[in-house]
Amino acid sequence: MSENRFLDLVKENQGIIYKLVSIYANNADEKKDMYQEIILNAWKGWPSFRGDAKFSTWLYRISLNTLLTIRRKPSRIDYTDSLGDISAQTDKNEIYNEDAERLRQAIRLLSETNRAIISMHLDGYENSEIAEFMGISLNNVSVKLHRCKEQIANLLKR
Amino acid sequence: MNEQNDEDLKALLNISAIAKEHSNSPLQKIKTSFFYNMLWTILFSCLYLILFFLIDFWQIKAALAFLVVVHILGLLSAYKQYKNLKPEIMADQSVLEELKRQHKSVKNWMNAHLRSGLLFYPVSIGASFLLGGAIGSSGSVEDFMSRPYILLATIILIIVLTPLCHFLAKKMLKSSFGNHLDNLQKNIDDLESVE
Repeated sequence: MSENRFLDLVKENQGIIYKLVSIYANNADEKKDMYQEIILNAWKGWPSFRGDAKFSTWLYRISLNTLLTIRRKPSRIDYTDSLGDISAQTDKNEIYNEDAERLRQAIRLLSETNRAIISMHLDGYENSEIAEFMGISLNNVSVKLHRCKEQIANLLKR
Repeated sequence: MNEQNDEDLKALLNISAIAKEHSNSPLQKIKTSFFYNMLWTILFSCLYLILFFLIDFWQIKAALAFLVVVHILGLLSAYKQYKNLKPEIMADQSVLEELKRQHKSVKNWMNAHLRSGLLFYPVSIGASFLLGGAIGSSGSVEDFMSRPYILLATIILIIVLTPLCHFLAKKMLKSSFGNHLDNLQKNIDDLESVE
């Protein structure tokens, strides 16, 4: 499979990378580092991509494995338990965008591993797929998802 | 959501941009460090061999021969680890397996680094002290060592400086990789815990 095919597939699925990085990066520099590591890892892994899985699933796995094992710089911003004033960051006329941004902000307040779990859940993955992806039991996924939803609901109520 | 993109991401999506990029992952850095360590080891081994034939003091010749043997053993071990170290992300592994693999790789490298130091420091300290002393006093190592307390001073130096070097190496490794290891361990614990 050619280099062009790789680029076409990544371009088609770049939303996965964008979305995952947006819930992990704490600043612009970290965001660039994360994009770079994900693209490099995908590029290095491309020859071993067998095509028996969907490219989007493969890229999702590469992205998550990269984001959860990347070396974080000590100067990272640690988010507090407040969602802050998101109205300044979003278009006030677009309620949908504002809700999506509030949800994204809430997800960013979860632990790194829970962010991965809830993100997969929101992207429509089954619990069994999440369990296989994360390497934990199905029961553990259900419990963690329940807790994540509770946490997010509490954060959104504020 | 999949239609969303970003200028920074777009800029990366061409082959020439990807080819120019280099990974900042700790395992990649460790692999690069292995490569340079091996180069330095070869260079120093050659230097020791040259010194071995230039210096007449048998004590220093013995220390240099020992250092060359240690270097060759270290080189073989480093090469084996270099070959086995896989810095790229394993797409066929779960997140938990990947976290554990990376944690173990970094930890193993740190331990190997510290262990090899414990073998290397005493010989280097002893040889440097004797060579420096002999050259400084313009005499032979035998003359230098026959002075009162020199043997004791060498032993004390080795006893004091070896743990100090070990401690400093540990501190440096911790400052370089400690946070990363802690973060990996935290994610492993988070995943393994049933809330």
